[in-house]
Amino acid sequence: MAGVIAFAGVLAAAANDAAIEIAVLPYFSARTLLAQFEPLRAFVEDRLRRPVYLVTAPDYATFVRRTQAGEYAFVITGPHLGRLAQVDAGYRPMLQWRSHLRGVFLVDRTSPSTTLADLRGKPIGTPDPLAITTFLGEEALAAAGLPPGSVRANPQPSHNAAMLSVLRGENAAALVWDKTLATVGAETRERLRAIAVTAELPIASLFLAGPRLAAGEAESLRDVLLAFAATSAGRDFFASSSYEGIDPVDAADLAALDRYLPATRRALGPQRSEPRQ
Amino acid sequence: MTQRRRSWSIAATLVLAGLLVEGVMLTLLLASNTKIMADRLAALFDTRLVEVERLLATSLAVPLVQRDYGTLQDILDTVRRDRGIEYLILNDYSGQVMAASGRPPPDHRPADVSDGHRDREIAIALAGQTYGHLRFGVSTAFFDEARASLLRIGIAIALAEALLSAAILSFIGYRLTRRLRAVTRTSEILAGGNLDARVDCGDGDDEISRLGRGFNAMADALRAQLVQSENATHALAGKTAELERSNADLEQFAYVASHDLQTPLRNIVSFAQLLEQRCRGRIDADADDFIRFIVDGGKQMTRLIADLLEYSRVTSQSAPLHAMAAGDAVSLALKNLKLDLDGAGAEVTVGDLPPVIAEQSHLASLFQNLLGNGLKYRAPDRKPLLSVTAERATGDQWRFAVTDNGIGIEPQYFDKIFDIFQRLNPAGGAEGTGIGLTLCRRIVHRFGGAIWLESTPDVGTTFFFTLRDGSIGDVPDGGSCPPLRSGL
Repeated sequence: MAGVIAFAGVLAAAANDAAIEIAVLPYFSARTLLAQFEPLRAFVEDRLRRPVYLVTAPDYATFVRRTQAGEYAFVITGPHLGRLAQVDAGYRPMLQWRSHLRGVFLVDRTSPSTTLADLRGKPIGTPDPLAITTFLGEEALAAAGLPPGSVRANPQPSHNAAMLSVLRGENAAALVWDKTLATVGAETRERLRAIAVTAELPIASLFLAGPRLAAGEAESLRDVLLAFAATSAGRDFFASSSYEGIDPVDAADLAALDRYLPATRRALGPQRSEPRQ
Repeated sequence: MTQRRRSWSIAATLVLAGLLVEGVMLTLLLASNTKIMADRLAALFDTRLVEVERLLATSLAVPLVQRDYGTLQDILDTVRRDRGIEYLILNDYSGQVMAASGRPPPDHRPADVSDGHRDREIAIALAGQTYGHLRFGVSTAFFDEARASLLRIGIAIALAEALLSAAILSFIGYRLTRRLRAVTRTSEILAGGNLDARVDCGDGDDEISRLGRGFNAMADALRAQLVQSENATHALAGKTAELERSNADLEQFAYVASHDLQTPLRNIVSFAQLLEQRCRGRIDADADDFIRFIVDGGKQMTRLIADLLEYSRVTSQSAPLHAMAAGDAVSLALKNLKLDLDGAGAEVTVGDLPPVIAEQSHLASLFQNLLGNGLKYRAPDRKPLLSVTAERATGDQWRFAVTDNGIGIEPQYFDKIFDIFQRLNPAGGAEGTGIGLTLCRRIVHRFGGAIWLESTPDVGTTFFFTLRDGSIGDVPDGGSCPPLRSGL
């Protein structure tokens, strides 16, 4: 199942209309995620002349539940989760990363495994069960003759946590979004070896405006994000994150995501409200 | 009687001074240590607080960004429970409470330092962005308690040390002054007359033992000197009494002898003169000379006896001393010498003379002898010039000067001329018995003064003598006569 990069944006809530919150799917650890998106946040804050805050959630399920509850006004989230928010919660797709999304199976450089078949019966570190990368990985394993239950899926809090679990010897392999390798140093990358990749999706992530966000504000935010892609800060951001740019949403690409919605809903289980202080 | 000032004993002074010094030093030390420890505690507290703040900022940032309320609450509850923090309130950037644990006191006013509390606020940031603020209050009760405990312990140690020092100083003071008191008691016994008292100085070689031995040696020497002095005093008293008796006998003998000799001598002279009148030229020339020798010898002997009698009367039959005018005595003397002065054509000058303590007849005799001496030993080639003057000497005395321009006296005779019957030039023609200046010295001594002279041969002589001032009143008991210096 391919790793999903989901971005969501939030304009300021009614109680604090001066600040804007942009909710980002926790596909990386919070520190890595916020460090990666800091140039984007700073750019938006500068252009809108309003405080901008990045928020996330402890895990995919929480993030999705908050999204589906309409808690976020603007999100950057995985493609299938964005499609789910559009279909089930009334979010409006605004933009998408210009990037293909696929998963990669990584093993320790010294590991004897060279094919997916070699992973039979072994523990595999995966992202969250709701991640698109997980779905793409399941498809790849099935195609390699390893139906569900042939390997021991060991979900990790994030893509980089799954990748590092291989180096720690906790898992025989890791299924992660292939852009994850760009977030670690060369010395770490050199200790890993890819043995297989998943199929690709044309959308890496979606930018969606929540149902409570005014149309004008959503448009302003979209314009700023598009402008960011043309700046040097934006180019640096894309170079470091392996994204290629930001594009308007393609309706066909969105429709192609519908096939993941049933599995996503199953993985989510019954919806319930989140306890709050 | 002199009022002796009350003073502390050495032992008490030693103990009090030691305690005072130690008290001051301990107080300073205690204050210094308490401050240093309090400062260190405060620094440690601040360091610990900074560590807690850093830990809280780090641990709260991610769950705050994640809006992970359960984790936030767990962290706050754990921190408050484990670290003794009174309350924690986490707000997001909009001020909304994200999590809280504990509550601030009802009348709480946030402050960096207040009574028993310290309130802090830290920013919770991630990737350079501040996502909220954590306010929390820390009780400083343990800090205050630790400081108070330090102070209590310090005071207890200081008191214990002071008590120990007092005990040690008292012991030392007792040991030190016990033997000093023994020396004091022994010295008081010695002063009371018991010269056999000694200090028990033991076998030690410390300063007090050496002091005791030195004291005993001094007492031994003192006793030996006192015994010797008593013996000498006793012997001197015996000699003095013997001398006084001898002097009295001699004076009595001189008086009686001269008085009793007068009558037979007067008979001898009278009958010799009668014989001279009746037999002159009837026997032969030698008989006339012999008779004349008898008459002259008898007269000379009469003068000697008269002078001796007067000399002895100065002390044996002298009237009480009183204030009198010295000028009156000089006038009386000049009156007695008038014939001789006129005969010699002498010129006498008398200055202003003060009242003095004396007896008139003897003072007149003093001036008469000194003026008569100047007249008797006048220079043959010049007119006799005599003067009597007086000037204030030291204290209550006047110094008199009787000056002549006579033949003068050689310096080697300055003392000899005051001896009785001493005449420097018996064959010089001047009459006299050689008792005049001896009498002058006795009179001056009788009046409590001194007599001396200055003289230049062929120029003149000045006799000086001192007398007590008579303007300050009479001598109640008639004065005293000092012991005789020589002769009778």
